[in-house]
Amino acid sequence: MKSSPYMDADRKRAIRRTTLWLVLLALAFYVGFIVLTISRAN
Amino acid sequence: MSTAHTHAHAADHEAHDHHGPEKGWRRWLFATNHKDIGTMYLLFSLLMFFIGGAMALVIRAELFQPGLQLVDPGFFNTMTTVHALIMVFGAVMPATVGLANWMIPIQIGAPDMALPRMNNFSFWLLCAAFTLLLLSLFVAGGGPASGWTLYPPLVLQTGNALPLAIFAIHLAGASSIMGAINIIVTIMNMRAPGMSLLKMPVFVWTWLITAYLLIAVMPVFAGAVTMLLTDRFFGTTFFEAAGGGDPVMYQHIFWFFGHPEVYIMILPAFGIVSEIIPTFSRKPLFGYDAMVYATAAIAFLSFIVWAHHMFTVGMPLAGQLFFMLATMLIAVPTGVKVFNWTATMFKGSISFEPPMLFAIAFLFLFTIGGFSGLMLGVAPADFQYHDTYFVVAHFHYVLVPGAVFAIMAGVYYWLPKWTGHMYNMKLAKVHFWLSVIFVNLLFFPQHFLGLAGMPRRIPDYSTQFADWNMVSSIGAFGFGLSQLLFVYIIFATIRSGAKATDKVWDTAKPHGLEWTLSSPPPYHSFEVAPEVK
Repeated sequence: MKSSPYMDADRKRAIRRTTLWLVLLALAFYVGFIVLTISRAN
Repeated sequence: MSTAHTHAHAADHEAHDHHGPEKGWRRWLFATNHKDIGTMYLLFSLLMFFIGGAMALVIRAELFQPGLQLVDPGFFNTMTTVHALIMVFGAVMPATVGLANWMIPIQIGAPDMALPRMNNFSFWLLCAAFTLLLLSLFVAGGGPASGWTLYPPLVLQTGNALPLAIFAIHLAGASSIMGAINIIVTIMNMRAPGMSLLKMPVFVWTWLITAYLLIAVMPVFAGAVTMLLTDRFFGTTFFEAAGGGDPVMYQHIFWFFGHPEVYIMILPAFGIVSEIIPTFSRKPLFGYDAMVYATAAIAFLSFIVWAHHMFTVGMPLAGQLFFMLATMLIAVPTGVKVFNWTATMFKGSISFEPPMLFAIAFLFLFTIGGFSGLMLGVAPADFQYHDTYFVVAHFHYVLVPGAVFAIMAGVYYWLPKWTGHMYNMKLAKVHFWLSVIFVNLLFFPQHFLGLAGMPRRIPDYSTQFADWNMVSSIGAFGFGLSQLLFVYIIFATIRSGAKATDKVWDTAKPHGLEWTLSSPPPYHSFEVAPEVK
């Protein structure tokens, strides 16, 4: 993959950015639903 | 400088051209190639189908006759629980991930997945997860036995297997999330020039949407089981009424994950069938745009129907109406798909190769599962059907002749491309007919049992249910044994067979970039980006 002409700097940056956003999305759902459960407890 | 750079670049390329797979076990342990990882996912899922299938046969053997014959009720509960966990997370999902790994890069014109090392990690994490889950069967007190839904308070009263099962679910979930991230990142960033989103193959589209579903709901399930773990071991009371918690809240959270999970398993199946039907009808897919939008609509609706799984817990009438009507609404985009597949075949020059046979069986039998789903979605009727064998019949129709048949169709469609060999068509057709006969013998009678009132998840039953249970069990053993033929065909094709051409289905009308590559494709799929017009 390293030498593939596909992997130019722009593409690498775009891949990093998309990955970061998706990780944050997953974390938001994980934490969000635990907070939701706590907030609904009596 | 520029010349030197060009020379260095050329040398680099030359080295790259000669770069092939590592030899021996290192090729698989350290695999970063999408095809190798795809193969490992597919073989893993095949193994899990047989382990989960053996558990199903234990269940059906016990239910062959009324009375307790073979296993004690606790072990029976363990079998129903672990069979479901294995089939959902270990068999169907990894099979579709395997197909995604193999096909997405070569369908979008990329050399590999965007994050190959993460791809390797997510596969091996899955192996660790299922090793742990299977080991949980051997702990003192027996394996997990609360059903795959792990409802509290029951699950909090079960034995030492719970933490192992929960850790296994965490690992499998992390693996799925990493796989989903990899798929989205690949599709969004690695498409060939000219391949706009609405030019992507439908299989790629369905996987893009599925991957978003995975990222949205797997963390929710992880959160739910984390709270179960702290309730059990750290004194919290998230789901214990005595401490101010709410056990029904668990059900809401679980099904907020659980319903989209159904679509996580079926949307890639829709994608596979959407690839196969046009090829063997020798026509383009009818209503491509509508297919894409219908997939997105199904995914959106899957987030707002979860409580139809729990009408009987008691909820306000407005809640019942909302979830009932939202469930009915899913029939609209699903109907769009079924009619578009039918319209694709209409006046087509159809031939019945094994992938097409499985795709047509999918179309008929998945629709039966869809209709029984509509029946269950009607709140007042669900009070009658809930927790009966009718539910078991419904979701098995969706998942076995639905998702599993589509996976088999996909394997028969792309296997010559993967291996470079054609398989024995006659044997594959025998496999198809045995599967389609036995799967109906296995699951159709369960509708009658459910309507007659037989509860699910029981090892014994009244004698009035004896006849159809016997028929169902015969179907189960027939279906299970028929799958040995599938394994034989796969391994025989890997080892030998007539040489497959690049296009594989020469007399049909295959479309897409995968058919422009050799059979089997080169180690790095597309070294030079193909131009898509």
